[in-house]
Amino acid sequence: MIRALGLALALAIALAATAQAGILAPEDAAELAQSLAEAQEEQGVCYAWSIANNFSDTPDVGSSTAGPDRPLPGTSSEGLRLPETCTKGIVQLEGKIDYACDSCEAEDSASVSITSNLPNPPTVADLEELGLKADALTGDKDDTTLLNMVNALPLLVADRGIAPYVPYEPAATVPATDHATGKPASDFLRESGVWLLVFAVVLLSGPAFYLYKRWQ
Amino acid sequence: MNRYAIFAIAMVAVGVFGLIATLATHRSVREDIAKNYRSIGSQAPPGPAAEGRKRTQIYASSKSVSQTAEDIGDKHKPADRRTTEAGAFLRYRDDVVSVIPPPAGSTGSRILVDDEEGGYHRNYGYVGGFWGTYSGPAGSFRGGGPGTAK
Repeated sequence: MIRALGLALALAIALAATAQAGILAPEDAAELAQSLAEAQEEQGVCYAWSIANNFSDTPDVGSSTAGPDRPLPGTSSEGLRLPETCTKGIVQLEGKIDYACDSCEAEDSASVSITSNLPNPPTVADLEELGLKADALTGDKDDTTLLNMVNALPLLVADRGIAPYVPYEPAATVPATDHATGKPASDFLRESGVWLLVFAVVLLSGPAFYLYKRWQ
Repeated sequence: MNRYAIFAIAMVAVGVFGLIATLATHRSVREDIAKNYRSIGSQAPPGPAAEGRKRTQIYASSKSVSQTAEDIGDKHKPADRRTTEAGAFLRYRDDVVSVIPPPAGSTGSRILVDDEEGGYHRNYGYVGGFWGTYSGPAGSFRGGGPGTAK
């Protein structure tokens, strides 16, 4: 019940926004804040994200304590302080996305960092080991990458033994109309396609080389 | 036989050997997990019953959730992945690998290997909208932002 009310509140706040800022859709930001709020309740650690960009007036921000579009209280210009609700500490993903202009030679770029007052907090290297790299914030799946990065923070905190894991909850019911789509291509080709290509080229190069030398 | 013919034959041999080795040594992620992790059981797959559905296989890992997901993902590059506060989910053509926290009082992590439909049903709250259709509160497609990269 509390979870449903929280989700409804977060969605209402998000949908009240008149325009999308940054890369996250308002509904995605609201869901993200809600999942972080549940992690905070479980772990006693507050979570937040703040990703600046050069293409809109407002950055992607949100937190487990204040919801979407609102930074973690006390973190704006005074460094990290410990709100009373964050009994163990704070973890915030910060970053910047720079889109180069269409006519510029420069490439789009992005960087992230993790700010925290926890002992032995998660690092950007931890995110990268999970396949979450800052460069992907300039790609087609920029929003999914940001969601994965922020969602991963409570998992990494638990992995380091700082707080308990957020319990995994398998879906009890799924609407009959919902199902997986976009079946991926062959695993074998994705994993070994490069090697197949390399050895095929080597194999074909032999006869080609011989015929070329005979023709000369 | 001249030296050009010998060189050409050597290249063909390397190519053939490489192709055979690549084909012969490949294992699916399902087979690899079964070989490298301790099985602790199986259960009926979530979702609608249908012919050809595979049972969910359950394994235990002594490593943390993120480390186990990294190990599996490094060896078998997933087509898609979703990392959440409660687990890491790797999507393959026919399989979904869920790496989740261990039961209370245990250490390490649990690995669930489902078929595609089972993985989507089991993890609907985490991957719904990302890997398929979704009727949840955030709309049909979660993670559906603008994608304004150059």
